[in-house]
Amino acid sequence: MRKFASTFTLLAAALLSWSCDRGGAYPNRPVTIICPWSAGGGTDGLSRQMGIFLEEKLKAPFNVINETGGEGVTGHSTGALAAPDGYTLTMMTAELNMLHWRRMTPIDCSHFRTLMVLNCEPAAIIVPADSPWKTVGDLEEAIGKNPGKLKASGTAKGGTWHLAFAGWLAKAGLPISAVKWIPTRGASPSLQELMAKNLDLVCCSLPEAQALIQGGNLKGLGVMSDERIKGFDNVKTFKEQGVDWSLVGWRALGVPIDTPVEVIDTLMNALRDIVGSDEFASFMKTGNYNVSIREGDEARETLDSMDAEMGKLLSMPEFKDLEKSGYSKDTYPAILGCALLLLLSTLALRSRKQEPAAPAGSPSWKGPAAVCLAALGYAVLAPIAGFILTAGLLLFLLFLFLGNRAVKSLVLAAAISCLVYLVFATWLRVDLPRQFIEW
Amino acid sequence: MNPGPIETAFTNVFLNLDVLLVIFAAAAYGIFMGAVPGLTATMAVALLIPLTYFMDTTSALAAVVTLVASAIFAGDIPNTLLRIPGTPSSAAYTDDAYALTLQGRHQAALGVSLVFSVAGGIFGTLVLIFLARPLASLATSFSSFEYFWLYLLGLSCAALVSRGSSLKGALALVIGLLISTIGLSAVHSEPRFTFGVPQLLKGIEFIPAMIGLFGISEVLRNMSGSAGLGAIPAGQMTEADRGGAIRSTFEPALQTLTGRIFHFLRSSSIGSLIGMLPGAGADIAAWVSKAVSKRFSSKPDEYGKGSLEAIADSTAANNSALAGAWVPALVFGIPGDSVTALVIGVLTMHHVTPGPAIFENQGELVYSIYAMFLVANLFLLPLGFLAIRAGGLLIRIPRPVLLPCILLFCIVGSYAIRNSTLDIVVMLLMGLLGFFLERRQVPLGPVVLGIILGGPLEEKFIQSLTSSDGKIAAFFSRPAAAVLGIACLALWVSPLLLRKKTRPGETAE
Repeated sequence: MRKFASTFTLLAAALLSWSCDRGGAYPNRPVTIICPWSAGGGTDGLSRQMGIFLEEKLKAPFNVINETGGEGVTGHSTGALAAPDGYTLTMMTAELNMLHWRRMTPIDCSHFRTLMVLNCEPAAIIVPADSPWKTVGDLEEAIGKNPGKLKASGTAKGGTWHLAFAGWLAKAGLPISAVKWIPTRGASPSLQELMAKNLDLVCCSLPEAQALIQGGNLKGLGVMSDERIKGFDNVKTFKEQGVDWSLVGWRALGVPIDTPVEVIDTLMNALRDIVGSDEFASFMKTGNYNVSIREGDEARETLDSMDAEMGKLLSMPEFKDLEKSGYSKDTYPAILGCALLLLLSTLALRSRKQEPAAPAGSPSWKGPAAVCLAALGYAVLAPIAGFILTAGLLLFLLFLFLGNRAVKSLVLAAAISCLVYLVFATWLRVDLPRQFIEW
Repeated sequence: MNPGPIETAFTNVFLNLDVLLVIFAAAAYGIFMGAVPGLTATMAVALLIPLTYFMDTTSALAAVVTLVASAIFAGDIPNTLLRIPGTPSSAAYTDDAYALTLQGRHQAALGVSLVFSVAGGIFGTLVLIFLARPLASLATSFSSFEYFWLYLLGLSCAALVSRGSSLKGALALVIGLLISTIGLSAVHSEPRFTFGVPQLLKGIEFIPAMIGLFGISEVLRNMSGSAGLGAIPAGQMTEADRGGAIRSTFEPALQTLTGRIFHFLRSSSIGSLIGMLPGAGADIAAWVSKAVSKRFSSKPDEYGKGSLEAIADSTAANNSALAGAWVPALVFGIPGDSVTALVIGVLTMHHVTPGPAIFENQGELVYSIYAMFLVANLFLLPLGFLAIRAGGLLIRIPRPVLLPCILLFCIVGSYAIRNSTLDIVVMLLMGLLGFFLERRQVPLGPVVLGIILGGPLEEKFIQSLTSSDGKIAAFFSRPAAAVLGIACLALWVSPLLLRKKTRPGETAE
């Protein structure tokens, strides 16, 4: 047993000496890139690739975390409110221009220092290939003749593509309610509904529908940009078709507004090198990203003008009404609540009729209480004391509680917590809390 | 199909040492990721993506294909040994598998899992080979109405086949669905039941919930003293091991397989069909297959209490669903699940555009994918066996040492999904919920499926209502929707009718 104890002391000493090097220039520890959208989407792909490029340039791990939910509220808020030390980057998207107008979050562009706009995706209108409409004008006429009959989607109500579509309707002098907008989770499910003939048109970016357009299932009626999109050369712009309307979604890397200048300079230099490289160009080409590099004032102007456009659209009285219309958020929980009450009352009636169930034996509450305390203790202590110490302490106390001998508990606790850290934090890059002991 | 591309594709895969090495490494990595609760197949693939950019197309796809197949099987290991489903698709048969472990028959349970996973995977591949194009058009005919009924059908199956009375199954389901309403809904993006806690806007993540409901509740049960604190009874262990490791693992599986060829074909077909629909997946497939299996079984009473049949039929379905998910991804570029969404990314990175033309332009590649599925499943057999042997050591660890380690793994697994301390608290609360529900004999599987499918169900429900102007009749107006809807309603009505006939036996519940 002595031997175990001395091995443990040695191990701990080695770990401590390992972990002391915390000084040095930025970046000297892993950097997080927050992606507000889920894994597998376009924003995620761009975030991950930028992570790889930055990691190569700055010689520190750049890990992507998908902070999804709330139409981008979660990811953007987490990114804006992170410590302004350059260790949290955010892949900002066009939703940042809209969420604050819809009062979903106070966070807007002013909370970020925009490093660089990387990519712009113009909205486009996509219909089945056998649709009778050939131009945007045909569609406008059809909508005018059958107000409220046609069904469209592309994203949730009030999402970028919905605003792009609504903006065009407003430009054409049609009420926004002239087309029924079915809320969906994004381009993929919308295209699925379009293929299943449950929608008449979809508004999303052209690359999102590439496979179906090239396969001859769907066609683009028009794209809301100043120029045609590479790879979709036969889809005319709205301007070419006599409609002065354009709207693009954008993606940009940003850091919290108070980030120190030295850190920003380091990042900017790395980013300039990256976007100038052949690897970047070929990645953007194969990934179907429409490259549009803007930095400094130019980037700010792009974002601010988009913000103003969104503000104009979203403060239209029609739009406000639209947000309220449809089925309320309480419809579904209310139905479930009724089902719950019904089931509980049926079960209560039944158990009264039947003889009472055999008692399962009165449990001892000490063990479960220890488990709860341990888990809650971990949640409180880990951010302060770091993973290894907290996990070690948790294991040690529980081992003791379950009747293991003290030395055995100590050695096992130390070994297991270090092993778990090694596997999760070092190999799998889970961002476990790092304090005191880390490597 | 001309033999040219098929031949080259198969030599590319079978006779290429690099690709075989990649498949081997990916299988080992996938087994590890699947076996650790909280690490999912999607996460494994996402971590792998940056590496795939530097591989050639065949190797990159081989890695992804193998990774997913092995991770889904490996989810059965903690599911069986520790009662923590490694992936949500294992949750359909947690009760059966863990009951077998308590009887000292974990080798048999895992052997059946492995053999039927592999067989299901191969069946799914064959479906992909022969029926990809004709069936893909079926997949795109599904609108929100059909999805609404399909989700409801999957949920109903879960509620009706779980252990205990179907009323309690329904209760569990509604609890799960209600938990899923926490957070911002995809349809309205308005906060619900968040009590002003900003982190709750994201909703309850199902991985921590699942780990809590199954894993923590089992730790709590063990620690509450109502179950013994010793290891699995030693006598039963040696009995299971006596016939040699290979025999005790594979013999029950082969017996089950030879006796149930027809059942196997049925389960795998269900899996392939459901897997092919974008948005449905391996988890729904497992539940529906189990429900069908129980309905036609000669021993329905054993389901939920350690039935090898239940494990066999569910696991065959969830593995055959995997290949199915590639159909809409390859043919239309519409991803069937989060993994195939990542796959489409990998494909475009390698200058391959998914779409109907892929069979003409990139035929060789498509056939390579088929070949990879076959190789990956064959590799899974020996590697999976080793993993089962390694996992078997777990339950020899005395419980006073094992339980704290399980707790730590549950904590890290819940945290790892999105680096959130709140998820640890969620996990603990779900553990307590699971603990109390179990004491009242309420099954836990439907709660998990409710949490997973609650959001999509609401989404399709509201979408359908919006597009039909609130007319309920529209839910039956499309032919496919009508069939699914009637099947779903019949599922709920039939037990009521049956019960009236067999009323005297009813108290047996």
